[in-house]
Amino acid sequence: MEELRVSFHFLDWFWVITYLILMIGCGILFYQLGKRSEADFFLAGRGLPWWLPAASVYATHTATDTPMWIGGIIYKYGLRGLWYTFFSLWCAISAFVSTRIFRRSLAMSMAEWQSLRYSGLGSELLRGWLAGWQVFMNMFVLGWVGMAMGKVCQLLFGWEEWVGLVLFSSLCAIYVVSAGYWGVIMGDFQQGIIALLVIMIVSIWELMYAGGPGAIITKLNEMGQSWRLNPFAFTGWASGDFPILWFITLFVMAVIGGIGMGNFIDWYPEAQRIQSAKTVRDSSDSIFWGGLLVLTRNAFWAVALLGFFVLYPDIKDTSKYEIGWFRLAFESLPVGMLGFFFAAILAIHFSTISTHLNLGASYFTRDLYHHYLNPQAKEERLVWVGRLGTLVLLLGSFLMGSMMKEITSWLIFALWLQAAGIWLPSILQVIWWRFNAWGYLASWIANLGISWLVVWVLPAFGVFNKIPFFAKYFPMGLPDYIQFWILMVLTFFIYIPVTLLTKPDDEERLIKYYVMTRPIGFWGPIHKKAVAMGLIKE
Amino acid sequence: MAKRYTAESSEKWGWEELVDCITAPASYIFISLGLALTILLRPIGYVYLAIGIIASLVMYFVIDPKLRAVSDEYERRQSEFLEQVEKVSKWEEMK
Repeated sequence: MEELRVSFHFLDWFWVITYLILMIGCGILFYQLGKRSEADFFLAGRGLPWWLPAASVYATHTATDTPMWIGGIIYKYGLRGLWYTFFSLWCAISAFVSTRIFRRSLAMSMAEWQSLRYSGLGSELLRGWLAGWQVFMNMFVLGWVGMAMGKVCQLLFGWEEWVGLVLFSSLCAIYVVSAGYWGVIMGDFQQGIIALLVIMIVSIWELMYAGGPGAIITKLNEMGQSWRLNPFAFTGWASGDFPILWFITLFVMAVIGGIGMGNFIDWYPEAQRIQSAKTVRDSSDSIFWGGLLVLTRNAFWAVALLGFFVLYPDIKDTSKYEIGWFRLAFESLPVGMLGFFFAAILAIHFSTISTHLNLGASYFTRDLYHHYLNPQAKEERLVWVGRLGTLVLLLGSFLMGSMMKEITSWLIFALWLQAAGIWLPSILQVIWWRFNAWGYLASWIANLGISWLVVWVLPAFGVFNKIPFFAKYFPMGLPDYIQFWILMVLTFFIYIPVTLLTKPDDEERLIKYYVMTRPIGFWGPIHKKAVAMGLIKE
Repeated sequence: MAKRYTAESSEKWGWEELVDCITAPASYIFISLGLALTILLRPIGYVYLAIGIIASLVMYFVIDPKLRAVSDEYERRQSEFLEQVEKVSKWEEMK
């Protein structure tokens, strides 16, 4: 493959500059609404119709690195790679279960929810931990996505990677600082429409450039690669690179996980969108339809990437085939459309950056400053702290971006830990009244220790190879989906005893929470007390 | 259709949610796979896409009346609940 360099003409720059003016102008336009209160700066006043947060769900989860990730898995696995993207099935369940419960709690953030669901010192420890974790995580995501933009700019213009990161994140911050979540949501709506249209048009364009559907299928058959067209081409129960056991793990994790809160990293931006919807019904609709749009988009990318594979079938370097969707577009689009496409990439980029700037700032302001430092702060001050928090997130993202290579493997481990060990406790806290703050805290701590053991320490000493079952079925080491189940079982034996050996949360708090949210599951004793107190009818 | 639900019956988890927990993930899977295969002009893609669309319509018509009823009932008390949340956040009500 030759190095790709594109040259922009007047019309290309026209599109890019027009789009930037539109976005930054949007921030100025909604400045007056954003500055009214903390709830306006972070939730647009809790009054949005479902289609605005739905567009934001879609736009936020369409980032610059998303076509790279999907490009990688489709190039490697063919259409069966689409299953990787089905972890978002949790949205399908959540829309009618945990979204409904969380919206009724009215918590401004997931950290605040800890103060409503739990009581005492345990709830405060959880709130502080989640707030700090989320400020850090949003910085990391900003650094990660910003570096993906840096790579695209390097591919196109030959710029140093940090230039794309700093330039476009800073431009995006202008409207987030000005208008807060109002700017984010209005920007996301425009960006979502632009991104969806361009992804559809460019993917079909790329498909035709590769010869069209018929030619692609014929070529795949000639190459002996027809399995790439079959989404169900599994490689056995536990063998090969696409085993059924992996699929079952993903399916269970995603579908049952939808009942819980906080068991996926995507839950946190979704939680903000849920609370910004004007009614419970609007919040449910926004999560369901936003999630569906995300999966629809993936279908377009997948077919374009099959076209890329047919044109360039022998790429071994992951970093080369990951950018296949971008590369094919820049290779094939005519002058004028290149700039339009780049403007769409900016839309994709800004929607994610703006969300994480505002989301991280919300934890910084609501949960750290407002709750712990200045509970009586006036609305005007809280909005200014929100702006300061946005700038802290921006600067932190530059730092994270510069250290990305060093911290990525550590952070993937940390995310892993979050997904595997707290998956079940995040469900239990929704469905079981007796699960308390100490149990949830214990699950986070147990995860940390047991993840190190299961993922690194025990394999290094060959412990799993000495167990006949593992030695027989997984001689090359335990795959991550088996580690998931082991972690889940081992941590269970820590947080359940901790829960049962410590006192339940304060009864009055649990009754208030129950009456507000009417959670699903095992809440019988609390339900009976709420009925006895006349707070709800039997 | 919304009149089928009283304020209290809409609060209970029931068969509607169960139906949605099957149809909603099915619609995600079949629409996504169906669309990809349809763009590639594979006949099975049209079948998947149709199943996905039907599943999302079933999901919508089963749950929407209940969601409307839940929303109406909840929004009556939302401002009272919101005050409670603010008190907790400002340490005016901490237990």
